[in-house]
Amino acid sequence: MTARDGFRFALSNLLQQKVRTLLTTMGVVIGVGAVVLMVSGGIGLQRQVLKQFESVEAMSSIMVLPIKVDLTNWSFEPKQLPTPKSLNDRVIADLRRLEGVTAVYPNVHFHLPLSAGKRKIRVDVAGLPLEGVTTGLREAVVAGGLWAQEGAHVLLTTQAAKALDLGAPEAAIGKEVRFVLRSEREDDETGAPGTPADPGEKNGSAEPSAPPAVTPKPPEDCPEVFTVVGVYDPEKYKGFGGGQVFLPLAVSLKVRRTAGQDRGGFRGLKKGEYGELVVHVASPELVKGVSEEIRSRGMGTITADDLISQLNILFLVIEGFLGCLGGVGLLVAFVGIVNTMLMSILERTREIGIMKAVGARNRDVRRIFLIEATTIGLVGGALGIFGGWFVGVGLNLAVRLWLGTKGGPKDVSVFQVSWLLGAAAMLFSVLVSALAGVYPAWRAARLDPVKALRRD
Amino acid sequence: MTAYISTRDLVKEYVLGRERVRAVDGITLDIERGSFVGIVGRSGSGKSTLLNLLGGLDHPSGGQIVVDGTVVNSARDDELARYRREKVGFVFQFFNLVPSLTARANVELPMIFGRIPRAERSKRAREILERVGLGHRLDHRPSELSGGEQQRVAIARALSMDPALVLADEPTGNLDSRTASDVMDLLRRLNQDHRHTVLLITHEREIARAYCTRLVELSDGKIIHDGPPASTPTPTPPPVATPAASVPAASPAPESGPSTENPR
Ligand SMILES: Nc1ncnc2c1ncn2[C@@H]1O[C@H](COP(=O)(O)OP(=O)(O)OP(=O)(O)O)[C@@H](O)[C@H]1O
Ligand SMILES: [Mg+2]
Repeated sequence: MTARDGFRFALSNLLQQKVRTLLTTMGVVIGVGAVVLMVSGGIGLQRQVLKQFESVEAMSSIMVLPIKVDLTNWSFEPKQLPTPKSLNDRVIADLRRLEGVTAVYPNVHFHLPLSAGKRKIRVDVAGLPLEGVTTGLREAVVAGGLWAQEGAHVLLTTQAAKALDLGAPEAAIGKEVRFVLRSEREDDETGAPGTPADPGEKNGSAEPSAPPAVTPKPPEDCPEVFTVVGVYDPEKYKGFGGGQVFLPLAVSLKVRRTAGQDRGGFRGLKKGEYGELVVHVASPELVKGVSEEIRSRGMGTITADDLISQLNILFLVIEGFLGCLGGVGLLVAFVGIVNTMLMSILERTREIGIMKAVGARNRDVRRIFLIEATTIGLVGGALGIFGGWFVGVGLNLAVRLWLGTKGGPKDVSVFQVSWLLGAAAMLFSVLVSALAGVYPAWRAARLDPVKALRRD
Repeated sequence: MTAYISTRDLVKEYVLGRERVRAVDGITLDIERGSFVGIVGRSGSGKSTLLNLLGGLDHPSGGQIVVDGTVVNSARDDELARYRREKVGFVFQFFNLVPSLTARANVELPMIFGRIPRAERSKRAREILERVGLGHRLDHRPSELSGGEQQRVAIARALSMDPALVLADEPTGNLDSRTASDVMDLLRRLNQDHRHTVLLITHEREIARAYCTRLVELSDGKIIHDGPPASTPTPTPPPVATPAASVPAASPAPESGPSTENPR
């Protein structure tokens, strides 16, 4: 029997029992559709997240840590653990001299309540030296601008400005906001260690243009009230992080210390030490070399590439998990095919006997049933991929509508079906259904023709 | 052993629990090419079992079968399938047509497994169906055909690979006497004009006597009588015609009385 005749035969057999074939195929459609939808959700999420790193800014930044970390192992390199490198101004000056480096500054990052009038919100705060300001950030500014020099200035996000009821972004410029430095944290004693000697001298920028102390206990020369100099839209800003409220670097260090949030790091930081540094290089190609150079000095680095490959692994796991979840449907479909084929053999026992009597070999019989099972997978798979894609498109529309009402971005695609996913789903569907056909086909091929012919 | 079919001490044994049933019990038989052999005997005497063994549909428990120089008893499944496809045509009491296929497709079935190209098998199927007088029923399904027509389709199917051997297991058992003699005439024509060797199982003595050149009678899996039909009118069992509609006396097979001599 030729393959072509096998197909024709199998197809006419399937069409013989239209309803049953349809139902069995539906099982495959649902199973494959679920897998496709689930995995496409994971892929969409992955792309959404990785978009953050697509900008030149993000790709040309390096995070420097006091000890070497190996992201691919999710663990620290054990030998390096005992002696972390001290990240201080001397190191900063040192790194600045490296070829291709355009900026080096400590990564200052903390949470604080921020208030304006009666409104109070909690915000992510980050310190930013002027040298660290990227064009990406400049382009994201929708009102006002960046500070020209250190001082009690703040660059808000559009969301923060809105939440603080400062009006339209333009209207917010020049208004004053207040960081709540010591609300519930009165117990702080070690929080503000000694003198303010350490902060951003290396920036060369001036002393804070000290606004007069307002609170009863204005520690040192740390300002609490900040003037809004600009508002930016985090959606437009592609780079590490995003979504933070930016302060001038030197001031941010003071604010953090005053708020008692500078005790992070891998061990208690000594005076003049930073938990992390940020290094900018002139172009993305330089990242690898500079990063290796920094590592050779005993420090750890994290680059966008590291994060991306790490995230890719993470998402692979997530997508695998989602795929398995959808795969439960496919498992049910598998059982459905096995059941259908076994039923079909039972009904066609006599027919199998006839085929054998007129000269069908065992493998001809096996082939007919395998083709039948595989055809179900082929058709079900194609329809399932289409169905999964279709539902995904519908859900994307729904998500966009929903985000639209929340003032969110409108170009989000949570479910994304790639060609690769489609091809993999097809392959999987065909494989699963062929596998489902193996046992029934074997049973059919093995039937004793004499007994089969005697059956009614 | 120059006979076309020859068996030696052929045994088929079934084991049912502790009991052993010898459906075929030491049959030694030689059949000449082109003969028309009737196999008779009571129900359960082992006729069908013998025929299935000769047709390569079943494996013997012991003994030897050689057909046209091919040792059938020790053949592997694939070789048996090929043997059935190329050398044997089966005709059954219950026609055994595939109900979902048209008459033509049923006739094409052996040729599909024989990998005959589509155009040729379609042409051959039509020719054979015309030969059995069903040129006008090509696209009918079995359910749309009368019993006699179905049996003629089955015979056409048996002939589609032009086998040397036609094995018919009570082909007229389900037909009225008129149609039965049509089918028998057809088988005789195949035997006489096309030199197919025919083995026919039948319960009907009339038919056996009218058409066969030789009768083999079985009982309990053994041959108890073997010879030309004229010599067989042994009184042994009364014509056992109970299962099928009994044969009316008006036996319509006048053309060639007792039949020809053993050809060749
Ligand atoms: N698969 C089997 N298992 C056990 N016994 C069997 C099997 N097939 C046949 N037999 C037995 O073998 C004997 C011969 O059976 P067979 O079908 O050859 O008889 P037969 O002569 O064709 O009868 P009939 O005229 O009724 O068709 C019977 O006694 C039957 O019960
Ligand atoms: Mg029988």
